[in-house]
Amino acid sequence: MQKNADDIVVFLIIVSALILALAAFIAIMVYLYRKKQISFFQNLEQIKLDHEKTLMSAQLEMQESTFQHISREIHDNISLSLTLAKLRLNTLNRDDRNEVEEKVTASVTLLTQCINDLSDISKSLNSDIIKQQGLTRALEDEVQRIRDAGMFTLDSWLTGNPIYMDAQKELIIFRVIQEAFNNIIKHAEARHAELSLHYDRERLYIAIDDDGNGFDTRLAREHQKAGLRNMETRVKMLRGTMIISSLPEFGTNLSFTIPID
Amino acid sequence: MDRFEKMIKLLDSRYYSDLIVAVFELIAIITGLIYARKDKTSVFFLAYLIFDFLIIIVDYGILYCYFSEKEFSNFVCFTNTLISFAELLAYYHFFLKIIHSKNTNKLMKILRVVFSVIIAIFITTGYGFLTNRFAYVSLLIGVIELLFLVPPSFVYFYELLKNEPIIDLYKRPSFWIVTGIFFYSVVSIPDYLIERSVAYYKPKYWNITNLLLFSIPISINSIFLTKAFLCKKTLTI
Repeated sequence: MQKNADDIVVFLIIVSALILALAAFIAIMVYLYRKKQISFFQNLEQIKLDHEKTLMSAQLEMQESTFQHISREIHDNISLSLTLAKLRLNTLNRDDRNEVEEKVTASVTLLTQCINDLSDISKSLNSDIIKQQGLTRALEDEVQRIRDAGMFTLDSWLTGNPIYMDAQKELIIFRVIQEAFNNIIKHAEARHAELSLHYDRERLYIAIDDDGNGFDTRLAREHQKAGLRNMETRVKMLRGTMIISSLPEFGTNLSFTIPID
Repeated sequence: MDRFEKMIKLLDSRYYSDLIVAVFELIAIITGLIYARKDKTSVFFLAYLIFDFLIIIVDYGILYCYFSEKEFSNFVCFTNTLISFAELLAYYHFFLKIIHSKNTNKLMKILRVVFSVIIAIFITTGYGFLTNRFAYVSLLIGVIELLFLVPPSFVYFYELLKNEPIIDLYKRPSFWIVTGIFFYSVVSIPDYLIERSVAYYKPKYWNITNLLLFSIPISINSIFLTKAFLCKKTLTI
Protein backbone atom coordinates (compact mmCIF):
# COMPACT_ATOMS: atom_id res chain seq x y z
CA MET A 1 0.00 0.00 0.00
CA GLN A 2 2.83 2.36 1.00
CA LYS A 3 4.72 1.46 -2.21
CA ASN A 4 1.68 2.33 -4.32
CA ALA A 5 1.39 5.69 -2.60
CA ASP A 6 5.11 6.34 -3.21
CA ASP A 7 4.66 5.41 -6.87
CA ILE A 8 1.86 7.92 -7.21
CA VAL A 9 3.95 10.64 -5.56
CA VAL A 10 6.89 9.93 -7.88
CA PHE A 11 4.60 9.88 -10.86
CA LEU A 12 2.94 13.14 -9.86
CA ILE A 13 6.35 14.77 -9.33
CA ILE A 14 7.54 13.67 -12.78
CA VAL A 15 4.37 14.89 -14.45
CA SER A 16 4.48 18.18 -12.55
CA ALA A 17 8.14 18.64 -13.49
CA LEU A 18 7.37 18.00 -17.14
CA ILE A 19 4.47 20.44 -17.13
CA LEU A 20 6.52 23.04 -15.25
CA ALA A 21 9.38 22.64 -17.73
CA LEU A 22 6.99 23.19 -20.62
CA ALA A 23 5.40 26.17 -18.89
CA ALA A 24 8.88 27.61 -18.29
CA PHE A 25 9.78 27.06 -21.94
CA ILE A 26 6.65 28.92 -23.08
CA ALA A 27 7.27 31.69 -20.51
CA ILE A 28 10.85 32.13 -21.76
CA MET A 29 9.54 32.23 -25.33
CA VAL A 30 7.02 34.93 -24.42
CA TYR A 31 9.68 36.89 -22.49
CA LEU A 32 12.17 36.79 -25.39
CA TYR A 33 9.49 37.74 -27.88
CA ARG A 34 8.32 40.68 -25.77
CA LYS A 35 11.91 41.83 -25.30
CA LYS A 36 12.51 41.65 -29.04
CA GLN A 37 9.21 43.41 -29.70
CA ILE A 38 10.10 46.30 -27.38
CA SER A 39 13.48 46.68 -29.06
CA PHE A 40 11.82 46.45 -32.51
CA PHE A 41 9.33 49.21 -31.71
CA GLN A 42 12.11 51.37 -30.24
CA ASN A 43 14.06 50.96 -33.49
CA LEU A 44 10.94 51.76 -35.49
CA GLU A 45 10.43 54.90 -33.44
CA GLN A 46 14.06 55.88 -34.06
CA ILE A 47 13.64 55.32 -37.81
CA LYS A 48 10.49 57.47 -37.73
CA LEU A 49 12.36 60.22 -35.87
CA ASP A 50 15.26 60.02 -38.33
CA HIS A 51 12.84 60.20 -41.23
CA GLU A 52 11.13 63.23 -39.73
CA LYS A 53 14.54 64.80 -39.19
CA THR A 54 15.48 64.16 -42.84
CA LEU A 55 12.12 65.54 -43.92
CA MET A 56 12.66 68.65 -41.85
CA SER A 57 16.17 69.10 -43.20
CA ALA A 58 14.93 68.60 -46.79
CA GLN A 59 12.20 71.17 -46.18
CA LEU A 60 14.82 73.62 -44.90
CA GLU A 61 16.98 72.91 -47.94
CA MET A 62 13.97 73.44 -50.18
CA GLN A 63 13.21 76.69 -48.43
CA GLU A 64 16.84 77.82 -48.74
CA SER A 65 16.92 76.96 -52.41
CA THR A 66 13.63 78.82 -52.91
CA PHE A 67 15.02 81.91 -51.19
CA GLN A 68 18.08 81.73 -53.46
CA HIS A 69 15.80 81.43 -56.48
CA ILE A 70 13.76 84.46 -55.39
CA SER A 71 16.90 86.43 -54.66
CA ARG A 72 18.38 85.56 -58.07
CA GLU A 73 15.15 86.38 -59.91
CA ILE A 74 14.83 89.70 -58.10
CA HIS A 75 18.46 90.56 -58.68
CA ASP A 76 18.70 89.43 -62.32
CA ASN A 77 15.35 90.54 -63.66
CA ILE A 78 13.14 92.62 -61.44
CA SER A 79 15.78 94.78 -59.81
CA LEU A 80 17.47 95.38 -63.17
CA SER A 81 14.21 96.32 -64.86
CA LEU A 82 13.20 98.62 -61.98
CA THR A 83 16.64 100.27 -61.99
CA LEU A 84 16.39 100.85 -65.73
CA ALA A 85 12.90 102.26 -65.36
CA LYS A 86 14.05 104.54 -62.54
CA LEU A 87 17.07 105.65 -64.60
CA ARG A 88 14.90 106.48 -67.56
CA LEU A 89 12.43 108.43 -65.46
CA ASN A 90 15.22 110.26 -63.58
CA THR A 91 16.89 111.34 -66.79
CA LEU A 92 13.61 112.56 -68.24
CA ASN A 93 13.83 115.89 -70.02
CA ARG A 94 10.36 117.26 -69.27
CA ASP A 95 10.69 119.91 -71.98
CA ASP A 96 11.14 117.37 -74.77
CA ARG A 97 7.66 115.94 -75.25
CA ASN A 98 8.79 113.22 -77.65
CA GLU A 99 11.49 111.99 -75.27
CA VAL A 100 9.02 112.02 -72.35
CA GLU A 101 6.60 109.90 -74.33
CA GLU A 102 9.31 107.48 -75.46
CA LYS A 103 10.89 107.05 -72.00
CA VAL A 104 7.54 106.72 -70.18
CA THR A 105 6.43 104.06 -72.69
CA ALA A 106 9.72 102.18 -72.22
CA SER A 107 9.39 102.45 -68.43
CA VAL A 108 5.82 101.16 -68.56
CA THR A 109 7.04 98.21 -70.64
CA LEU A 110 9.76 97.52 -68.05
CA LEU A 111 7.25 97.78 -65.18
CA THR A 112 4.85 95.42 -66.99
CA GLN A 113 7.74 93.00 -67.44
CA CYS A 114 8.47 93.28 -63.69
CA ILE A 115 4.85 92.58 -62.80
CA ASN A 116 4.85 89.53 -65.09
CA ASP A 117 8.09 88.25 -63.57
CA LEU A 118 6.74 88.72 -60.05
CA SER A 119 3.56 86.90 -61.05
CA ASP A 120 5.65 84.02 -62.49
CA ILE A 121 7.72 83.78 -59.29
CA SER A 122 4.60 83.85 -57.19
CA LYS A 123 2.99 81.07 -59.27
CA SER A 124 6.05 78.87 -59.18
CA LEU A 125 6.33 79.22 -55.40
CA ASN A 126 2.69 78.72 -54.59
CA SER A 127 2.10 75.17 -53.41
CA ASP A 128 -1.65 75.66 -52.96
CA ILE A 129 -2.33 74.45 -56.48
CA ILE A 130 -0.77 71.09 -55.57
CA LYS A 131 -2.87 70.80 -52.44
CA GLN A 132 -6.04 71.80 -54.29
CA GLN A 133 -5.62 70.25 -57.73
CA GLY A 134 -2.80 67.76 -57.45
CA LEU A 135 0.62 67.21 -58.96
CA THR A 136 -0.38 66.70 -62.59
CA ARG A 137 -2.34 69.96 -62.78
CA ALA A 138 0.52 71.88 -61.11
CA LEU A 139 2.95 70.35 -63.59
CA GLU A 140 0.75 71.39 -66.52
CA ASP A 141 0.99 75.01 -65.30
CA GLU A 142 4.73 74.68 -64.75
CA VAL A 143 5.24 73.27 -68.26
CA GLN A 144 3.22 76.14 -69.70
CA ARG A 145 5.31 78.65 -67.71
CA ILE A 146 8.53 77.16 -69.09
CA ARG A 147 7.12 77.12 -72.64
CA ASP A 148 6.11 80.76 -72.27
CA ALA A 149 9.67 81.66 -71.26
CA GLY A 150 10.65 80.42 -74.75
CA MET A 151 14.13 79.26 -73.82
CA PHE A 152 13.58 75.81 -75.34
CA THR A 153 10.72 73.75 -76.68
CA LEU A 154 9.13 71.40 -74.18
CA ASP A 155 6.96 68.34 -74.79
CA SER A 156 5.17 66.55 -71.99
CA TRP A 157 3.31 63.22 -71.68
CA LEU A 158 1.19 61.68 -69.01
CA THR A 159 0.27 57.98 -69.20
CA GLY A 160 -1.52 55.64 -66.81
CA ASN A 161 -4.17 56.68 -64.30
CA PRO A 162 -2.94 59.47 -62.03
CA ILE A 163 -3.16 58.52 -58.36
CA TYR A 164 -3.39 61.33 -55.83
CA MET A 165 -0.71 61.02 -53.18
CA ASP A 166 -0.15 62.86 -49.94
CA ALA A 167 0.09 66.64 -50.67
CA GLN A 168 3.47 66.88 -48.93
CA LYS A 169 4.81 64.04 -51.08
CA GLU A 170 3.43 65.59 -54.29
CA LEU A 171 5.01 68.92 -53.32
CA ILE A 172 8.42 67.27 -52.93
CA ILE A 173 8.05 65.56 -56.35
CA PHE A 174 6.99 68.88 -57.86
CA ARG A 175 10.04 70.66 -56.41
CA VAL A 176 12.35 67.92 -57.68
CA ILE A 177 10.96 68.34 -61.21
CA GLN A 178 11.23 72.14 -60.85
CA GLU A 179 14.86 71.75 -59.76
CA ALA A 180 15.56 69.57 -62.80
CA PHE A 181 14.12 72.22 -65.14
CA ASN A 182 15.98 74.99 -63.32
CA ASN A 183 19.19 73.05 -63.99
CA ILE A 184 18.28 72.76 -67.70
CA ILE A 185 17.54 76.50 -67.83
CA LYS A 186 20.73 77.48 -65.98
CA HIS A 187 23.30 75.04 -67.34
CA ALA A 188 22.11 72.94 -70.27
CA GLU A 189 21.58 75.49 -73.06
CA ALA A 190 19.08 73.01 -74.44
CA ARG A 191 16.91 73.55 -77.50
CA HIS A 192 14.43 70.85 -76.67
CA ALA A 193 13.33 69.04 -73.51
CA GLU A 194 10.77 66.37 -72.66
CA LEU A 195 8.89 65.49 -69.50
CA SER A 196 7.04 62.21 -69.18
CA LEU A 197 5.05 60.81 -66.26
CA HIS A 198 3.71 57.29 -66.03
CA TYR A 199 1.52 56.01 -63.21
CA ASP A 200 0.99 52.35 -62.46
CA ARG A 201 -0.70 50.90 -59.38
CA GLU A 202 2.41 50.94 -57.26
CA ARG A 203 4.81 53.49 -58.70
CA LEU A 204 5.14 56.83 -60.44
CA TYR A 205 7.82 56.94 -63.15
CA ILE A 206 9.18 60.34 -64.18
CA ALA A 207 11.63 60.98 -67.02
CA ILE A 208 13.14 64.34 -67.95
CA ASP A 209 15.29 64.54 -71.09
CA ASP A 210 17.10 67.42 -72.74
CA ASP A 211 19.39 67.81 -75.73
CA GLY A 212 21.68 70.30 -73.96
CA ASN A 213 25.31 70.36 -72.94
CA GLY A 214 25.21 67.30 -70.70
CA PHE A 215 27.86 66.68 -68.09
CA ASP A 216 30.15 64.07 -66.63
CA THR A 217 27.98 62.35 -64.01
CA ARG A 218 31.02 60.89 -62.23
CA LEU A 219 32.59 64.34 -61.80
CA ALA A 220 29.26 65.84 -60.75
CA ARG A 221 28.92 63.21 -58.02
CA GLU A 222 32.51 63.66 -56.91
CA HIS A 223 32.01 67.41 -56.57
CA GLN A 224 28.69 66.87 -54.79
CA LYS A 225 26.72 69.37 -56.91
CA ALA A 226 24.10 70.87 -54.60
CA GLY A 227 21.22 70.67 -57.10
CA LEU A 228 21.76 66.99 -57.83
CA ARG A 229 22.35 66.17 -54.19
CA ASN A 230 19.12 67.94 -53.20
CA MET A 231 17.16 66.03 -55.79
CA GLU A 232 18.69 62.73 -54.72
CA THR A 233 18.00 63.39 -51.02
CA ARG A 234 14.41 64.29 -51.70
CA VAL A 235 13.81 61.23 -53.90
CA LYS A 236 15.42 58.96 -51.31
CA MET A 237 13.22 60.50 -48.65
CA LEU A 238 10.23 59.29 -50.67
CA ARG A 239 11.88 55.83 -50.82
CA GLY A 240 12.32 56.36 -54.54
CA THR A 241 15.26 56.03 -56.91
CA MET A 242 16.95 58.52 -59.22
CA ILE A 243 19.05 57.60 -62.25
CA ILE A 244 21.10 60.18 -64.15
CA SER A 245 22.41 59.41 -67.63
CA SER A 246 24.46 62.12 -69.21
CA LEU A 247 27.54 62.70 -71.32
CA PRO A 248 29.12 66.05 -72.24
CA GLU A 249 27.52 67.31 -75.49
CA PHE A 250 24.95 64.49 -75.54
CA GLY A 251 22.20 65.84 -73.31
CA THR A 252 20.87 64.50 -70.08
CA ASN A 253 18.27 62.00 -69.01
CA LEU A 254 16.89 61.94 -65.48
CA SER A 255 14.66 59.06 -64.37
CA PHE A 256 12.80 58.88 -61.07
CA THR A 257 10.79 56.01 -59.68
CA ILE A 258 8.60 56.92 -56.71
CA PRO A 259 6.53 54.35 -54.84
CA ILE A 260 2.85 55.23 -54.38
CA ASP A 261 1.58 54.37 -50.89
CA MET B 1 -28.02 -1.40 -14.98
CA ASP B 2 -29.35 0.64 -17.89
CA ARG B 3 -27.14 2.13 -20.58
CA PHE B 4 -27.06 5.60 -19.05
CA GLU B 5 -26.03 4.30 -15.64
CA LYS B 6 -23.34 2.14 -17.26
CA MET B 7 -21.96 5.18 -19.09
CA ILE B 8 -22.01 7.37 -15.96
CA LYS B 9 -20.22 4.62 -14.02
CA LEU B 10 -17.54 4.46 -16.72
CA LEU B 11 -17.14 8.24 -16.79
CA ASP B 12 -17.01 8.35 -13.01
CA SER B 13 -14.31 5.70 -12.87
CA ARG B 14 -12.33 7.79 -15.39
CA TYR B 15 -12.68 11.03 -13.38
CA TYR B 16 -15.03 12.32 -16.10
CA SER B 17 -11.93 12.94 -18.22
CA ASP B 18 -13.69 12.11 -21.51
CA LEU B 19 -16.54 14.42 -20.58
CA ILE B 20 -14.02 17.22 -19.85
CA VAL B 21 -12.39 16.66 -23.26
CA ALA B 22 -15.80 16.67 -25.01
CA VAL B 23 -16.97 19.84 -23.24
CA PHE B 24 -13.83 21.81 -24.13
CA GLU B 25 -13.97 20.55 -27.71
CA LEU B 26 -17.61 21.61 -27.95
CA ILE B 27 -16.69 25.09 -26.67
CA ALA B 28 -13.90 25.29 -29.28
CA ILE B 29 -16.29 24.16 -32.04
CA ILE B 30 -18.97 26.71 -31.09
CA THR B 31 -16.37 29.51 -30.82
CA GLY B 32 -14.88 28.47 -34.16
CA LEU B 33 -18.28 28.43 -35.86
CA ILE B 34 -19.02 31.93 -34.54
CA TYR B 35 -15.67 33.66 -34.83
CA ALA B 36 -13.38 31.74 -37.21
CA ARG B 37 -12.85 33.20 -40.63
CA LYS B 38 -14.07 30.85 -43.30
CA ASP B 39 -10.65 30.10 -44.77
CA LYS B 40 -9.29 26.63 -45.55
CA THR B 41 -7.21 26.38 -42.34
CA SER B 42 -10.17 27.23 -40.09
CA VAL B 43 -12.36 24.76 -41.97
CA PHE B 44 -9.69 22.05 -41.49
CA PHE B 45 -9.47 22.73 -37.75
CA LEU B 46 -13.23 22.82 -37.34
CA ALA B 47 -13.61 19.58 -39.32
CA TYR B 48 -10.97 17.93 -37.12
CA LEU B 49 -12.64 19.17 -33.90
CA ILE B 50 -16.13 18.11 -35.03
CA PHE B 51 -14.81 14.70 -36.14
CA ASP B 52 -13.05 14.20 -32.78
CA PHE B 53 -16.11 15.34 -30.84
CA LEU B 54 -18.47 13.07 -32.79
CA ILE B 55 -16.19 10.09 -32.26
CA ILE B 56 -16.17 10.70 -28.48
CA ILE B 57 -19.98 10.91 -28.48
CA VAL B 58 -20.38 7.80 -30.64
CA ASP B 59 -17.78 5.87 -28.60
CA TYR B 60 -19.17 6.63 -25.17
CA GLY B 61 -22.81 7.28 -26.00
CA ILE B 62 -23.46 4.26 -28.18
CA LEU B 63 -20.66 1.74 -28.71
CA TYR B 64 -19.67 1.30 -25.08
CA CYS B 65 -23.03 -0.30 -24.43
CA TYR B 66 -22.63 -2.96 -27.16
CA PHE B 67 -19.02 -4.05 -26.74
CA SER B 68 -17.22 -5.78 -23.93
CA GLU B 69 -14.93 -3.46 -21.95
CA LYS B 70 -11.80 -4.90 -23.55
CA GLU B 71 -13.22 -4.74 -27.09
CA PHE B 72 -14.44 -1.21 -26.41
CA SER B 73 -10.98 -0.18 -25.23
CA ASN B 74 -9.43 -1.57 -28.41
CA PHE B 75 -12.11 0.07 -30.53
CA VAL B 76 -11.30 3.43 -28.91
CA CYS B 77 -7.68 2.82 -29.93
CA PHE B 78 -8.85 2.36 -33.53
CA THR B 79 -10.93 5.56 -33.50
CA ASN B 80 -7.99 7.35 -31.86
CA THR B 81 -5.92 6.34 -34.89
CA LEU B 82 -8.46 7.96 -37.20
CA ILE B 83 -8.42 11.07 -34.99
CA SER B 84 -4.58 11.07 -35.08
CA PHE B 85 -4.75 11.02 -38.88
CA ALA B 86 -7.25 13.91 -39.02
CA GLU B 87 -5.21 15.78 -36.40
CA LEU B 88 -1.94 15.42 -38.28
CA LEU B 89 -3.54 16.50 -41.58
CA ALA B 90 -5.12 19.59 -39.98
CA TYR B 91 -1.99 20.64 -38.09
CA TYR B 92 0.39 19.95 -40.99
CA HIS B 93 -1.83 21.99 -43.30
CA PHE B 94 -1.58 24.78 -40.73
CA PHE B 95 2.19 24.39 -40.20
CA LEU B 96 2.81 24.40 -43.97
CA LYS B 97 1.09 27.79 -44.08
CA ILE B 98 2.96 29.40 -41.18
CA ILE B 99 6.49 28.00 -41.40
CA HIS B 100 8.82 29.77 -43.82
CA SER B 101 11.67 27.24 -43.79
CA LYS B 102 11.55 25.43 -47.14
CA ASN B 103 13.42 22.40 -45.78
CA THR B 104 10.95 21.98 -42.90
CA ASN B 105 8.05 22.28 -45.31
CA LYS B 106 9.59 19.67 -47.60
CA LEU B 107 10.15 17.38 -44.61
CA MET B 108 6.57 17.87 -43.41
CA LYS B 109 5.23 16.93 -46.86
CA ILE B 110 7.31 13.74 -46.79
CA LEU B 111 6.23 12.92 -43.21
CA ARG B 112 2.60 13.47 -44.16
CA VAL B 113 2.92 10.92 -46.98
CA VAL B 114 4.78 8.49 -44.68
CA PHE B 115 2.09 8.83 -42.01
CA SER B 116 -0.70 8.34 -44.57
CA VAL B 117 1.01 5.16 -45.81
CA ILE B 118 1.35 3.86 -42.22
CA ILE B 119 -2.36 4.51 -41.59
CA ALA B 120 -3.34 2.89 -44.90
CA ILE B 121 -1.27 -0.24 -44.11
CA PHE B 122 -2.64 -0.33 -40.58
CA ILE B 123 -6.25 -0.16 -41.71
CA THR B 124 -6.05 -2.38 -44.82
CA THR B 125 -4.06 -5.18 -43.24
CA GLY B 126 -6.41 -5.16 -40.24
CA TYR B 127 -3.63 -6.31 -37.93
CA GLY B 128 -6.15 -8.34 -35.92
CA PHE B 129 -9.01 -5.90 -35.68
CA LEU B 130 -10.10 -5.19 -32.07
CA THR B 131 -7.25 -7.20 -30.58
CA ASN B 132 -4.55 -6.16 -28.13
CA ARG B 133 -1.94 -6.17 -30.89
CA PHE B 134 -4.15 -3.76 -32.85
CA ALA B 135 -4.30 -1.49 -29.80
CA TYR B 136 -0.49 -1.53 -29.44
CA VAL B 137 0.01 -0.53 -33.08
CA SER B 138 -2.64 2.14 -32.69
CA LEU B 139 -0.82 3.62 -29.68
CA LEU B 140 2.44 3.49 -31.59
CA ILE B 141 0.79 5.42 -34.42
CA GLY B 142 -0.36 7.97 -31.82
CA VAL B 143 3.23 8.35 -30.62
CA ILE B 144 4.49 8.77 -34.20
CA GLU B 145 1.84 11.42 -34.88
CA LEU B 146 2.74 13.41 -31.77
CA LEU B 147 6.45 13.05 -32.49
CA PHE B 148 5.81 14.41 -36.00
CA LEU B 149 4.08 17.44 -34.47
CA VAL B 150 6.88 18.46 -32.09
CA PRO B 151 9.64 19.50 -34.59
CA PRO B 152 7.42 21.92 -36.59
CA SER B 153 6.39 23.49 -33.27
CA PHE B 154 10.06 24.11 -32.43
CA VAL B 155 10.68 25.51 -35.91
CA TYR B 156 7.68 27.84 -35.45
CA PHE B 157 9.03 29.09 -32.10
CA TYR B 158 12.46 29.58 -33.65
CA GLU B 159 11.03 31.55 -36.58
CA LEU B 160 8.83 33.53 -34.21
CA LEU B 161 11.91 34.79 -32.40
CA LYS B 162 13.87 35.28 -35.62
CA ASN B 163 11.34 37.36 -37.54
CA GLU B 164 10.18 40.91 -36.85
CA PRO B 165 7.79 40.85 -33.89
CA ILE B 166 5.21 43.28 -35.27
CA ILE B 167 2.07 41.69 -33.85
CA ASP B 168 1.49 41.23 -30.13
CA LEU B 169 2.09 37.57 -29.28
CA TYR B 170 -1.21 37.15 -27.43
CA LYS B 171 -3.10 38.45 -30.45
CA ARG B 172 -1.54 35.88 -32.78
CA PRO B 173 -3.83 32.84 -33.32
CA SER B 174 -0.86 30.81 -34.56
CA PHE B 175 0.94 31.25 -31.21
CA TRP B 176 -2.00 29.79 -29.27
CA ILE B 177 -2.49 26.93 -31.71
CA VAL B 178 1.19 25.93 -31.74
CA THR B 179 1.56 26.32 -27.96
CA GLY B 180 -1.52 24.13 -27.46
CA ILE B 181 -0.41 21.34 -29.77
CA PHE B 182 3.18 21.53 -28.49
CA PHE B 183 2.04 21.17 -24.87
CA TYR B 184 -0.38 18.37 -25.74
CA SER B 185 2.20 16.48 -27.84
CA VAL B 186 5.06 16.65 -25.34
CA VAL B 187 2.93 15.70 -22.34
CA SER B 188 0.94 12.97 -24.11
CA ILE B 189 3.85 11.09 -25.71
CA PRO B 190 4.82 9.50 -22.34
CA ASP B 191 1.17 8.60 -21.80
CA TYR B 192 0.93 6.81 -25.16
CA LEU B 193 4.20 5.01 -24.41
CA ILE B 194 3.29 3.77 -20.93
CA GLU B 195 -0.46 3.39 -21.35
CA ARG B 196 -0.48 -0.38 -22.05
CA SER B 197 2.09 -1.12 -19.36
CA VAL B 198 0.08 0.85 -16.84
CA ALA B 199 -3.11 -0.92 -17.95
CA TYR B 200 -1.41 -4.30 -17.59
CA TYR B 201 0.77 -3.87 -14.48
CA LYS B 202 -0.91 -1.06 -12.54
CA PRO B 203 -4.47 -0.88 -13.87
CA LYS B 204 -5.62 1.26 -10.92
CA TYR B 205 -3.32 4.08 -12.08
CA TRP B 206 -4.55 3.97 -15.65
CA ASN B 207 -7.41 6.42 -15.17
CA ILE B 208 -5.36 9.03 -13.32
CA THR B 209 -2.53 8.69 -15.86
CA ASN B 210 -4.98 9.14 -18.70
CA LEU B 211 -6.50 12.19 -17.01
CA LEU B 212 -3.20 13.90 -16.27
CA LEU B 213 -1.25 13.03 -19.39
CA PHE B 214 -3.94 12.91 -22.04
CA SER B 215 -7.30 14.45 -21.14
CA ILE B 216 -6.00 17.60 -19.43
CA PRO B 217 -3.37 18.39 -22.14
CA ILE B 218 -5.87 17.82 -24.96
CA SER B 219 -8.42 19.98 -23.12
CA ILE B 220 -5.76 22.70 -22.76
CA ASN B 221 -5.16 22.32 -26.50
CA SER B 222 -8.90 22.87 -27.10
CA ILE B 223 -8.85 25.93 -24.80
CA PHE B 224 -5.91 27.36 -26.76
CA LEU B 225 -7.73 26.66 -30.05
CA THR B 226 -10.74 28.51 -28.61
CA LYS B 227 -8.46 31.42 -27.75
CA ALA B 228 -7.06 31.32 -31.32
CA PHE B 229 -10.59 31.54 -32.74
CA LEU B 230 -11.32 34.41 -30.35
CA CYS B 231 -8.42 36.41 -31.83
CA LYS B 232 -10.84 36.93 -34.76
CA LYS B 233 -7.95 36.87 -37.20
CA THR B 234 -6.88 34.44 -39.92
CA LEU B 235 -5.46 31.49 -37.97
CA THR B 236 -2.16 31.58 -39.84
CA ILE B 237 -1.24 35.05 -38.49
